[in-house]
Amino acid sequence: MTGRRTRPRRAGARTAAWVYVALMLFFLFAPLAVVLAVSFNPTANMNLQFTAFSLRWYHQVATDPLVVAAFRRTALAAVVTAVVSAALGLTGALGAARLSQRWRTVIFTVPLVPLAFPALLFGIGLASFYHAIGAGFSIWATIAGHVILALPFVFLVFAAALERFRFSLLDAARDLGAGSFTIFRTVTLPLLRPAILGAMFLSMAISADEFVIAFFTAGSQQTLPLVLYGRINLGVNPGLNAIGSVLLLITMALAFFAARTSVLELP
Amino acid sequence: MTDTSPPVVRLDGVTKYFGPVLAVSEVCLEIRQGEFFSLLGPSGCGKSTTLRMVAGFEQPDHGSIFIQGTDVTERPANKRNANMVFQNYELFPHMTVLENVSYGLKIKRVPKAEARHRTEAMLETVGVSGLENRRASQLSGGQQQRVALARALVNEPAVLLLDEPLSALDAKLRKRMQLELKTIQHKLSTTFLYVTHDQEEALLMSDRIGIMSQGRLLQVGTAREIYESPSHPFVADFVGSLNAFPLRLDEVTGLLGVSRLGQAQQVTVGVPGGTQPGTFLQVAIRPEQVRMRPRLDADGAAAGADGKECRVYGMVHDIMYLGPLTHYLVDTPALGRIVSQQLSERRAAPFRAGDNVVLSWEPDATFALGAAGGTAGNGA
Amino acid sequence: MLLAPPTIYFVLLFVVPLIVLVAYSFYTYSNFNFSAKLTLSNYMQALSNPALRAFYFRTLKIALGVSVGVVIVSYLFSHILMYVLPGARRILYFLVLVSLFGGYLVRIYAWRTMLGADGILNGLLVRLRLISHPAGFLLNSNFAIIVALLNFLIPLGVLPIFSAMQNISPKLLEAATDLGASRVRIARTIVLPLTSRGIRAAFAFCFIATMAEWVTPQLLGGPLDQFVGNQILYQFGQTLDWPLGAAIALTLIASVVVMLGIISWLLRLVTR
Repeated sequence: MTGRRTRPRRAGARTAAWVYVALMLFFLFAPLAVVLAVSFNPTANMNLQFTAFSLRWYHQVATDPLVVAAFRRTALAAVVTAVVSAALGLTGALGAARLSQRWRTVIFTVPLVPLAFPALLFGIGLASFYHAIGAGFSIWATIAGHVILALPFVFLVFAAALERFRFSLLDAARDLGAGSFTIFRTVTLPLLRPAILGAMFLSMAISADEFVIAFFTAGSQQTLPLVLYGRINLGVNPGLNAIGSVLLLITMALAFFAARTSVLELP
Repeated sequence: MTDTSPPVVRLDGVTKYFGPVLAVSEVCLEIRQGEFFSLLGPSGCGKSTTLRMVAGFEQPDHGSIFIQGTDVTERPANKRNANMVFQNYELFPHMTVLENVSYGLKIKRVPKAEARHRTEAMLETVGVSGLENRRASQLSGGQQQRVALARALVNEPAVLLLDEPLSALDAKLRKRMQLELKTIQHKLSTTFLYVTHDQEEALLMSDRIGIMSQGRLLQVGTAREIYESPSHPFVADFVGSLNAFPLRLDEVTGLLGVSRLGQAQQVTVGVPGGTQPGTFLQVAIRPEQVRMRPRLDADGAAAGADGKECRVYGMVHDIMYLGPLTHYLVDTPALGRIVSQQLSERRAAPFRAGDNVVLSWEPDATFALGAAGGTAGNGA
Repeated sequence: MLLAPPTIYFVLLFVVPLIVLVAYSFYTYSNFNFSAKLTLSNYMQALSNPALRAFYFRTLKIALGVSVGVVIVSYLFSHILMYVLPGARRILYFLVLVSLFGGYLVRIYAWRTMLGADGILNGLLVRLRLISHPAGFLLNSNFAIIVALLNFLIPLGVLPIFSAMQNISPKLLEAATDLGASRVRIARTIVLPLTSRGIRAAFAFCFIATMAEWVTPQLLGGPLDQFVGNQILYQFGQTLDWPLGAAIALTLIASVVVMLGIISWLLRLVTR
């Protein structure tokens, strides 16, 4: 099996490409890796001179009541955001499913507007809105904003899932005598389960890390990113590395699960 | 009719592996100037791979490819004097028809005026003049097909490569395009190398056909040669349909073997010299060669029956009316089920299910499919 | 019907807040409070105040630079993934997506520690004897802001460009090759026009995000490096002059839309 694949010119291009890719990935991941690494360094310096591996800082933040409260609030916000946005996304997607192509495009494009819309503007808009109607700032105010941020992604996931959805299966179920609710429960929902799960994980990832909206709407009920922000301004504190590491690990894990569940979707 | 000009395309022992799979095996082929040549075979037989190797999109692992006498095996696809019409047309969506068709000319730095002139002339030849400024996405399937053809032909390649270009069209349009392609090819005298899995298409359009199966080129010849003298059991079976059955030779006289099946039934088949009586062969007869007549009691010596004709008795099992043709499925005790194809009679078929009939055919219409004695071709 | 809940929610919590914001931008401010007396003074200030103008143009400069940079880097990266290293395409793209979720604030914090006087980068430079003492300019500077912006905007830029490139059928490129095109010509005449939308989307994302950015300048920039967003924050947080803040924000977004329109049109010309 002799091949004729001798193309020395391209080998040089490939090496250069690998170097470029490596540099870029290094640039993208270096800050995260550093925070993670330093969080395990028991001595309070920032330059990777490791004395030992220690969970000292994690212990410190785990016993800090402010941090724990913030963590709980962040978790709550993430879960509620996920459930609400998934529910809204699902009803929207199903409602749009049988419409004409043109309407479908509109319905699936409009929720994408918040994607490009700057968080600062949305943040002050929400703050103004809550002020105008007399609602206070709280974690729930933040959650309401997070849902809007998560909706574009949820819609994107559902739009893709609907593209692949075999509506003929619903007709088959009806032909066999199933009523609308039964069809929904036994056919539609199970088939959309990967998309729903993926959308929920994605929403959780977005909400957990979200900072700007929370800044303007959470008031005294701080989320974890807000705590991190507050303490950054107080100066360098090695405990921040632990908080930061926790945050980034959580969001990356959630994103990972989101990717896995949608990849596992059977055609 | 010997063509003394050098072949436009020559493949010499071309072989290609995809990993452990042998996709194309030792293909040797010569395509003559101005010829419409088709590579015909089932999916996965290697015909598309062979075409892509001529185009330059795949590299053979062994063997060489020559275009107009030059060895182009090592040449990249954009430096060969061959152009391809793709199955899904692959028109550039962001360009107009004019830009699409003149793309190749622009690369060759043909002056703008000349390029425009050639483009418009070619668009007229393929039948889509007036669409120059439309975007590719605004055209119908048939129009896109013609533009793709124009885009390739305008470069005046030594050979035009066509990769199942009509498979995306509906049946009526296909038939029309088949004839049009043939007309265009004649008009321009360009050499065409055409790949298809549709035997009817190949038979209709080609000057010569190469049958491929499992990477090997089994036989090359004109439509008639391939249909009437298949050199390989696969070829016989793939092109047209067959009645195939095993036969034990009772006698061999010269190059004719005879098998007596009792009650004045017999089948004869051409055999190579030296074949012994008692040999088992797999033989075949084409349905349209099988004649039918009602069986009379005195059929042992029925009038007009040639002593040499092949003759089998049977009963009509089923009748399939196909419009211009009718298929009769006849069950014969001697040879199993035989299909006889007849031109349809008006109003009613001359036979009904349950009728006793005599099937007969010319003594030299039977051919052997192999087992002992089949001749395999070498694709010259 | 089914579409009601999401529509209501969207209108109530996205459209209405923006309407309120617009309304507030016309309110009058006095003594850490504002009343519903309508006035145009906020907009007058937003458009004419020289200090604000300075903030604005500083931000604009960086936004343009960063957006162009991200587009170029992302395009190169996508090109490599599609055509130079296609074998590693999936895993490399996956890695980029993962980095997208690595956190916004965490990154900014990370750069703050890495670029500080006793941070890693300085430590490395000193150890390699490239500089004799820690460089102060790494932090509290435009440099730091730009580095951090690039850090979280590059994955954002790769997404639309890569997906646009992915949608180009490889057979289309084969057709171009068949007609005699070299790789360079294919990149210029086929790939570039067909990825034009993705390029414009990537540019828009980066441009909008940077123009409205405030966290990065606040945590990584010096007092002279602040963006327009910081000014808006100041009005909302410190002086409580929400009307002015709203007016600045709305003029900002209006100008961004106009500029994007122009730049998008230019980009389309270039990539045709």
